[in-house]
Amino acid sequence: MRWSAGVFIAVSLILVAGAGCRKIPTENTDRNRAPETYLSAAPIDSIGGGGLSRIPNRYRAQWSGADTDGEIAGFFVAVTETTVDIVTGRPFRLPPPRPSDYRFTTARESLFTFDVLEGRGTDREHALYVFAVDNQGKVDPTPAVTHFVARDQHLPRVRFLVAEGIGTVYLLNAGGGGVTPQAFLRTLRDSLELPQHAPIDTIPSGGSVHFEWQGFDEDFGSRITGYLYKLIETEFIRADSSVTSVDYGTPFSPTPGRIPIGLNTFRIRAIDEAGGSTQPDAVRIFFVNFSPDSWFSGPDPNDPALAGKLSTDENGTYFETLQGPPADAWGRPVDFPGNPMTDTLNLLPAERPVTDGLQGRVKTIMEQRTLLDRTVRDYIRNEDDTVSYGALLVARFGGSDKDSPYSVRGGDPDSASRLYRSGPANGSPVAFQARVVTQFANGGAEEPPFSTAFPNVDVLDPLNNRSVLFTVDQVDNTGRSYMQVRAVDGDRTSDIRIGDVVRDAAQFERDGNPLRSKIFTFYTNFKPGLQLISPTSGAVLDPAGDRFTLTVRCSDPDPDPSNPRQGASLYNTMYFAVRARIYAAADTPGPEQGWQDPVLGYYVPDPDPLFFPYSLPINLEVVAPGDLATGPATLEIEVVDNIARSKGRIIRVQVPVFWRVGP
Amino acid sequence: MTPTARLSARKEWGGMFGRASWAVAAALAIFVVALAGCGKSSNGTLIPNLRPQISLSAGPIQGSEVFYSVRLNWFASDADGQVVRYIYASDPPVMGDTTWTETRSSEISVFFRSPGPNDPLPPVGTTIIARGYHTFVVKAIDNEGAASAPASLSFTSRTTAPSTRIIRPIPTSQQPVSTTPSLTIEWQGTDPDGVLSQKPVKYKFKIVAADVINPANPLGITQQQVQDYFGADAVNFFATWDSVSGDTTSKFYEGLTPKTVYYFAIVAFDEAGAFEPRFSLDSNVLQFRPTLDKLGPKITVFNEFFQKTQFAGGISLNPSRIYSLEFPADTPIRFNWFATADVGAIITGYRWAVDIEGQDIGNEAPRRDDGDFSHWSSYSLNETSATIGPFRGSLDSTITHFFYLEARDNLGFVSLFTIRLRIVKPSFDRSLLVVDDMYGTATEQDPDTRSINYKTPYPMEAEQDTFYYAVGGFPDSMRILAVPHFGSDVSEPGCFAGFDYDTLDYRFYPNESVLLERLAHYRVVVWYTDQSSASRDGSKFGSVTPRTGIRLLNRVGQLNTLAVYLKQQGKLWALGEGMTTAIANGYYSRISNSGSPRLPYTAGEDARNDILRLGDFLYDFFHLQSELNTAGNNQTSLTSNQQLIAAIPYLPEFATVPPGSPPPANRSLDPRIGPSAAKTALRWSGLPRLALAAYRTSNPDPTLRKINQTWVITKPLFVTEGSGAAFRSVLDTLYLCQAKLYDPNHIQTPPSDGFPNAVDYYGSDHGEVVWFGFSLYFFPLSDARTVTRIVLHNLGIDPIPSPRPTGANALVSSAAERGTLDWGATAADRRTSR
Repeated sequence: MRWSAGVFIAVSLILVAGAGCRKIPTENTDRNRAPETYLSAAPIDSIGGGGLSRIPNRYRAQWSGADTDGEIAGFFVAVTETTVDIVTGRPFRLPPPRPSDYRFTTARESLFTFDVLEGRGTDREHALYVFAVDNQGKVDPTPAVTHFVARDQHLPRVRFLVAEGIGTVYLLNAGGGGVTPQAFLRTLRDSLELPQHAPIDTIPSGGSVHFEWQGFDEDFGSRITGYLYKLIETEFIRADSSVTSVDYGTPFSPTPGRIPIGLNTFRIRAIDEAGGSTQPDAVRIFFVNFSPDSWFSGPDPNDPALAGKLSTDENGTYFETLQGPPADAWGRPVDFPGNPMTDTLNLLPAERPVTDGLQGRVKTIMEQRTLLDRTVRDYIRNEDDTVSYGALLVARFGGSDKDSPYSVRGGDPDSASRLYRSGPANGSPVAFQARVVTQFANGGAEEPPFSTAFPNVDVLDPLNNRSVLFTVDQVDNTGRSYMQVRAVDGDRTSDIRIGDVVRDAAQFERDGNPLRSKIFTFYTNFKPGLQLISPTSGAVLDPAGDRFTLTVRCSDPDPDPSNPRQGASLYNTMYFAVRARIYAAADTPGPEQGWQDPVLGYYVPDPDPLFFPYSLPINLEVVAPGDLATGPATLEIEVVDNIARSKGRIIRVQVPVFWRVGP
Repeated sequence: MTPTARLSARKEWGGMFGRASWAVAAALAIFVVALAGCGKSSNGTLIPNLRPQISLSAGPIQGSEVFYSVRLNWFASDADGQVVRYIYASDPPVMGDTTWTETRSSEISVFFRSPGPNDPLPPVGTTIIARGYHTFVVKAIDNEGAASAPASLSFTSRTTAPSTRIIRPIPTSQQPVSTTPSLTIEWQGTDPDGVLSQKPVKYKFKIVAADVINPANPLGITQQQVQDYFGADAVNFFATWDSVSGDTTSKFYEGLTPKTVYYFAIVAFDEAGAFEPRFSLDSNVLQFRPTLDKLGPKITVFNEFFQKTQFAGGISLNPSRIYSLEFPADTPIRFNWFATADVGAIITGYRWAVDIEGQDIGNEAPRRDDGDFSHWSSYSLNETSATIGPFRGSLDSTITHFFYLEARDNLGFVSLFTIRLRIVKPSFDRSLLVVDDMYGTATEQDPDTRSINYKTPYPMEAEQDTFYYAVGGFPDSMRILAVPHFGSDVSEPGCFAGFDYDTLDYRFYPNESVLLERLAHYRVVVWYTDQSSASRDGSKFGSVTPRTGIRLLNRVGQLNTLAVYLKQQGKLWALGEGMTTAIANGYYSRISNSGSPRLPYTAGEDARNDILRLGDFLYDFFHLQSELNTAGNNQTSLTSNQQLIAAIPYLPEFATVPPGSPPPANRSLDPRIGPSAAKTALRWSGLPRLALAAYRTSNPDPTLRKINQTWVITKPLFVTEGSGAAFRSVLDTLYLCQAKLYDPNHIQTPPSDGFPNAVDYYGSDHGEVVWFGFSLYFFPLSDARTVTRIVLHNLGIDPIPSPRPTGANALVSSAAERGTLDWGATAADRRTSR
C-alpha cells in the first residue's frame, strides 16, 4: 500500500494548512493603558444647551495628552463643520468626522482658520476633535471634542476705486442738421440696490464699463483671498485677490458681447480667509441706452428753401399742388429741391430740421384739402389750426438718438432678421411711431394705439411703408386732436416720456414743460354756415294754424369728400341736417326738448354769386307747441354738417320772434 | 529544529517519495500524453488554421424596431480549435475598422442609443418616442487569434424620451414668474421606460436673458420662439449647455439682474441617450423676472409658550406690528427664531437686541461684550435663539421691555420683529382659581315646578356646577340633587365646598385667552373641560362652536399663559378627559389648519404624527412623554371592554396579595400596583378607589356602567431629574385605569386596563402639576370630594378652617368684597343649586 503514504502526506498537508487558518484563542495580554486627551485652550463646548460658544474664526487651540504607562506620540485632529440645505438655506446638523478627516500631528497647538459658509452669513458651527496616541499606538477611545461657532466678525468689503461707463454719443448740432460724435465718460455712482429707485447713471448703447476695486477686511490679521463678480454672466466669476479690475463691453471682457440694453448691475464680493463674503454685494447699477428724442419737422414757411414755392389763400399758406392727371399725381405738392414733404429714406432723421416750436421755430404738419370746387391744396398747418373734414394729414418727424446703432428694420417691427439698413450709431432714430388722439366735440374720445413703427420697408408686409411720413388718410371727426410721436432707436427703445397725451399736454402747458413741443394739437372740421331767409329776427309769427315755414341756406367749407355728386354740379356735395324748435323767450328748455324732426339732405352750392357757397333754400315746417302763449318767443335753428351727427359739427342759432298778434 | 532533526526529517520525506515514485511517474506520463493530444501536430504538411464561425442566435429581427435595451446571443464554433473570445461593436463604420469590445460571454445586453425624436414633434402631453438605427456586429476569435466572419444584425431601437418638469417656481406661459434676484430652481425628471432607473441619467440646462432669444422684442417672446431657440441646440445634443447628473434636481442662481426676463430651460437624458426636445413654458422652461419689489423675510419667533409668524416682512415700527407678550418676572426668557425668505432668496443672518439704546433700531453701535443686549448683536446664521432676562416685575406698576430681532437675506432685505414684553410678577395672593372650561348643555328650569328639564348627555351645566361647587346642606330647590341617583332633597357639598376659591367660567370670560395677569394671583389653578368641549374649534366671539380656553392657549401663535404661570411656580390640577384632547388639538394647529392628531399620541421624530414633543404642553408640563391613548371611545360597541369602570389608586393597600395574584371579583385590588406605590403613598395616601356612581344616564346595573372615553398612559414613563445622590423620580402615578374587561396581558386593541390615568409631576422645571385623564363627576360625590381635598392639600391648599358660606352666593359675596365679580351671565345659567 505505497499509495497510502501519498494520501497520508496530502491529508496531513491539508490538516496543517487548515490548522494554520484557525484562530487560536489567546489571552489578552495588552496591558497598555490608553492615553487621555485634554483640550487645554479651545472654545468652550456648546453641548448641553448652554448657548453657542463663539470664537473668532482665527483661533489658536491647544491640547495635550497624558499616558500613565508610556508617553504621547502624537495626536489625531479633525475639524468638522455644518453644511447648508441648499433649498431652505438652513444649516444641517453638525456631522461627526469621517476617518479621512483626521490628521496626525505631534504638535500640541495649531492656529486654525475656521471658515464660514461663503455667501451664507457670518458664522458657522464647527467641532474640533482631538485624540492622543501613545507610544504603543494606542489611541484615546474618548477623544476630546468641543462644538462651537466660529464667527467672521467683519465680512470683507469692497471699495470701488474706479467705476465708469465709456462710449460715444452723437450730439445734435445746434438747430439740427446733423450730429457730432463725442466721447462719453461717466462715473457710475449708483451703489444701492435697496430701496428701489430710478436709475441714476445711463451709458450709451454699445458702450463699455470699467471697474477697479479694492477689497478689505476689518478683522485683525485677515486678508482678501479672492473676489466674485458678474455683470452679464448668469453665474459669478471667481478670481483671486490679484484681480482688481474688469472691463465689460470691450474685447477684454471676461464674457464677450455687448452690455445688454436696460438696467444692469455689476456686483462684486470680496472673500476673506474665513470664506466670508461681502454682504450684501457691492454694486454699481447703471442703465444702458439713451432714449431717442423726437420732434415734428414739418414745413417751415420761413424756410428759405420754400421761398417762391408757397402761395396763400383765404385758407392759409399752401404748396403748389399737382392737380393731376395722372391720377397718382393728384394732390401731391409740386416737387422741388428741399421740399420737406418730399420724403426720402436717404435723409437721416437726425438731419431733419428741428421745427418743434421751440426757440421761435414753428411746429407744422401738412393738410391736403379738397376745396369745394374740388381743387386740392396742401396747406401748412400750425399748432391749434383747424383742419378740414376729410383732409389728408401728413406729418414729418425728426429725431436724434445719442447712441444706438443704425439698424432700420422692415416688416414686423419685432423681427430681428429683416434688416433694411444697418451701420454704426449716427445719431438717428431708426423709426417712428405716431398716433392721433381725439376728444370729440360732441362728447367721447378716440385713443388709438401707436402705429406700427415706420419706415417699414418689407414689400411682403401689408403695412409696407417706405416713407418717414406719418399720414392720417381722412379726418373723419370733429373735435380737438393730439398728434403724438415717438422715435424708436436701433435698440428698439422708444421715446416714452409722454404717456396720456391729453392729460400731459394740459400739464405741460401749465408747467411750461418743453415736452409740450412733442405734441401737435389741432381742431378738426370747420363749422357750417347758416343764412336765415325767413322768418327774420324780430318777426311776428301769426300763422293761421300752429305751424309756419322756416327757410334757410347753409354752407359747409369742408364737406365730406365721399358725399355723392349731385348731377352735373362742379362742386362737392354738402350734407346738412336742419331742425328747429320754438319756445317762449322766458323758457329754458332742455337740450333735446321740443325739436322738430330734422330735414336731411345733400345740397350743392347755389351758383348765384350772391349766395355762393350757400345752398339753395332749405324749407322746414315748424310746429309751434300748443301751449306756446302769445308773446316773445325764441326760434332756435340747428345745422349739422355731417350725415353722422356724432362726427359732425353742430351750430345753433337763436332768433327772437313774436308769437301771434292776438287770440 | 536542530540540524540533526532536519536531516532525519529529510530522510523520512525521501523514503516517502521513493515509495510513491511510481505513481508520480505514471501521472506525469499521462499528463504529457494528454497535452500532446491537445496540440496540433508540428510534423508533416502545415494545415492552415480554419476561421471560426459565428452566428447570432437570438436578437431583434433584422430590420425590426425594438426596445432600446436589447439582449443578443450568439453561437460560435471552430473546426480546428476552439473559440476563446468574442469581439463586438455597435454601429461600425462602413469603411475602416472600429473599436471592438471583447467578451468571453456568448450573450450580452446592450442599451442602444435612441436619441432621435419624432419629427415633427408630437403635441405637448403626448409621449415622445425616440429612435436610433443600429447595426450590431460580433466576431469569434479562436485560440490562434483567427477571427470569424462577422455576424451582424440591423434594427431600430426605440425608447420613450424622458421628461422634466420644473416644480419650483412653477412655470407658466402666461407671464414671467416674479422672483428675487437669487433663486433656486427645482425640477423633477422621469424616464417612464428606464431599465436601471426611472430617473433620467443627466440633465442639461441653459439660462438666457430674453433679449438673447429675441433682441428686437424681448418682452414678446412666444412659445414658438422658445421652442425654436432652445430646440436649435438639439442637433448637437445640447453640447454647450451646463449639465448635472440625474441625482441633482436643483440649480441655484444669484445676483441676477432685476427687471430682466430670463428663460431657464432644462432637458433630461435617459440611458438610451434620448431627450425631450420639446420646450414648454408650462413645464420645462421657466420664464421669470427677478425683482426687488419685495418686503423681506418673514420672521417666526417661538418658545414653549407661543409661536408667532409675521404676516409680512420688512421694517416697520407701526404699533400694529409689535407683538405683545405677557411674561413672568424673575424668569429667564428664551426666544427661538427662524425666518423664511422670499422664493429664491436665502437667509444670511439674524441679530437681536433688548431695549436697544435710545429705543433706536438704527443704533448700530456694536456690543461692548456678549452681555451687552442693548446693542445689536452681530449678524449670525447660527444664533437662532437667545435667553434674556430675568426681568424684575412689579406688583403695582407695569414693567415693559422690548425685544428686537432682525433677519436679513442675501439680497439685502431686512425684516424686523418686535416683541413688547409685559413683565408680570406673580402675587399668589389668592389661593385657588377653578376654571370651568366646559361648554355644557345650558340649564333650563321649568318656571312652574322649578325643576330642571334634563337633557342628555350628562352633565348639563347645572349638574357639573352643582357637583363641583354646591355648598351642601341646603334644600335642593332646583331638584338637581333630588333625582334618584343622589337620593336626597337636600344637597350634598360639592368638591370644592369649604375651600376659598374663585371661579372663572371661560364661556363668559370677556377675553379670548386667559390673561397671565389673572392667573398670577392664585397659588393653585384647577382647570377642567370635557371631551365634547375639546372638539370645538371656533372663535370665541362670533362662532357657534367656540373653542375652549385651554385649546386656544395651545394654538400656534398664541401665548400660553398657563405655561407661563407654571413657570412662575404656580400649580395646576388639570381635570377631565377633555383637557388632554383640547391641548393636543390646540398643538396640532402648528401642523394643520384643521383636524386633530391621530391616536395614540406618540413621542418620536415625526413632527407631523408624533405630537408628544418639545413645545407641546402635554410633553413640557404634564410630562406625558411616552404615549397616550384613550380608554375606549364613543364607539361603545367596539371599545366597551376598554372603557373605564373605575380608577384605582396606585397605593400599596390596593395591591393584590401576594403581589401579582389575580384581583378579586370586585377588582378592589389590582395586581399592577407595584412596589413603587410606596413612594406614591408618601404624599397621596387616602386616595379612594373611584368606581362609577349612579349619575344621571348611567346604567342602573352597576356592573354595566362605564365611561366612553378617558385617557391612559400606554407606554412606560419615567421622569427624573438630578444626578448622583440627587437623582430622583419626579412623576408619581396616582391612579390606574380599570377597564371593563380585566386585561392583564393587554390583548385588547388598544389596551387600556391597568395603565396610569392620573399622575403628579413635582419636579423643578415648573410648579407642581396633577393630571387626571378623566372627570370626577362620574364618581360618587363623596369620593370626588376626598380626592379634591387630597389633591389640593398636596398642592398646598386646604379648606378654610372656619365654616363660611361657599358656592355661588359665597363667590358673589367674596368677589364683591374684593371688588371683582366673575360672572358673565345670569345666575340661573351658572349656579343652580347650593
